[in-house]
Amino acid sequence: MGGSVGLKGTDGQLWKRAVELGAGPVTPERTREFLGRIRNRNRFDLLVAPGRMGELYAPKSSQVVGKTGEKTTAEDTKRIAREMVSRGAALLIFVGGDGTPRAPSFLQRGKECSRSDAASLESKEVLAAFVARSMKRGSLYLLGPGTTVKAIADSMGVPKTLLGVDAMVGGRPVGVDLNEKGILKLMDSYEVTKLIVTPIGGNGFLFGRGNRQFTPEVLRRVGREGITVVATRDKLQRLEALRVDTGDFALDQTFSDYIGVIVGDNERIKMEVRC
Amino acid sequence: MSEGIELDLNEMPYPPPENVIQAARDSLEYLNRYTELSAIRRIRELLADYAGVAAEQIVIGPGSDLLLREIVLCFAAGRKAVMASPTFLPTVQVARRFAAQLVSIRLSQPEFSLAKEPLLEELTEPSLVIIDNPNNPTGRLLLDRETVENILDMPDTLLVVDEAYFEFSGLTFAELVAEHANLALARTLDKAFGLAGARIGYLIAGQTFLDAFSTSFAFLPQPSLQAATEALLHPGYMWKNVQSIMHERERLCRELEILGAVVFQSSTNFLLVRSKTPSLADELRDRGVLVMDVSNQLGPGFIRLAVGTPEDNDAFIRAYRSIMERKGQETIYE
Repeated sequence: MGGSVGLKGTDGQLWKRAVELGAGPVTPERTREFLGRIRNRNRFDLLVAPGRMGELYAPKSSQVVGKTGEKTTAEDTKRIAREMVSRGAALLIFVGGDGTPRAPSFLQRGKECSRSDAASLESKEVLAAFVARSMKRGSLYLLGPGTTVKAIADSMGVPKTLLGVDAMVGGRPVGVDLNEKGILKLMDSYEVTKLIVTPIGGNGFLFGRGNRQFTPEVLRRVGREGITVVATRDKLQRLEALRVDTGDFALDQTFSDYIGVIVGDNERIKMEVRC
Repeated sequence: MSEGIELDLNEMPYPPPENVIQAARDSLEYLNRYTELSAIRRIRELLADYAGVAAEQIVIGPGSDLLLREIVLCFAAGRKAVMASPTFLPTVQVARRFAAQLVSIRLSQPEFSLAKEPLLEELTEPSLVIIDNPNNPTGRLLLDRETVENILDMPDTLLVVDEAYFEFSGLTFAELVAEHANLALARTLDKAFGLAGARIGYLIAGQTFLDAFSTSFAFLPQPSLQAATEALLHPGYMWKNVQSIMHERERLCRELEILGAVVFQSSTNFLLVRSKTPSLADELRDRGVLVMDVSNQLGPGFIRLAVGTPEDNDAFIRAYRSIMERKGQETIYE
């Protein structure tokens, strides 16, 4: 819920702030969409968290696991997820907030935060320098979250938030930790907008996880041709495919093809995008 | 030689037959002399006969990997190199260094197929396409005749198909070479012929490639050349071994699947295997079995193993089973 307004989650006090910034809950619609696509629902039990954390949007036949107070926190998510696993849950599905399951304690083997070994670091520096050299002076560049994108800003000596969306023009910062509103306002001032992103987390999400500031409206205005994807070879080689899940299925389908990912100096890997 | 079971380099586990060893041995007394031109001519004729092409289309060299390297060095400077990912790594490394641009098309999982459109879309400028068919390390065939013809029809595009495992896949595009100057096939006697130590590779080359290689001449070592000549004169031994390996490959597949591994369909003498144990290659090595860890190309838990003799394969299965049993116990006691 907090993604589009530039917040990293809506646990605790952040929920109130998200509402003030104009965010609406995305979970109900996404849950309905998800459940609507499951076949053979009578062949397994559905365990859900209480109240707004799941129960309200799930079928009545679902089993409610755990209890929460009126305000929910990341600790509630962790405790209830563990309880679900101890009750035999074979699969945990997180709908909406992706911050908590990306915390290291929740990562499954093979799903990991960005690697920082020496080869990966060197590879990031090479591709960062290549992308920085390719940037056009008059265009607005929106830089998404992640260490690989940050490496591009670092190579240009421009400050960059690790988890936020920042903007630069001509190698100078023009916006920091922007939300959707801020992004759209900046886009109004420039003829050409380019967006630089890296797959987020171990599952390879280009959009829809960790960078919800890039809302369907932002993405439609930028257009697919305005999007540059960067990643280290090491990271790509661990992914089956890239994924998009913006919440707008029609938009997601426009990405369902192959996309070139810059992995080095004059080097691209074309990866399948799935939605 | 190592005392372990060596299944890491896709070699033929059976040694050459006595007549091939004797031919190499007989050549040793002439090591003070350069290889005679007539011997070079002879092996080109034998290779041409074996491949069903004209002798003029055969280029020989010290291993198909080095011939591929030569091709990259000759052609890639002003071209975009286009390859599959994953693929044979040494060729990628040389293309990364010498090509004007490198574009890799990631194989689509879980079947590891090569998407045709994203590949063809790249061929709008001078290009050098190098595809291994079957692919290493997945073992899958990536190209069919239609795709090959589509690539060859693109303007200013050269296509090199690495057919190192042709004898196991049975698929070749040799019949297209005479009509297409921009096509070359790379082959080797390292694998099916079991002459990895002799290092004899060859190209079945279209005219563009023949022109580039016209000024280079490989004086291959006499023992290698004589061994290869003898092996080509009596290919029955090679075909018998290929049949044994394919039979063992199917047995290995079945046994691994029973043990819970994911085994990918292969058209080669090796298998790509995915297990839930990320350190599988290390744990097998600790038990005396060497396999190739390909997690750096495909992610954790992927290994590639050559099909060995029935005894080698039994040893591998025993080691694999003991690892899985121990993992099972760890899971129970966790």
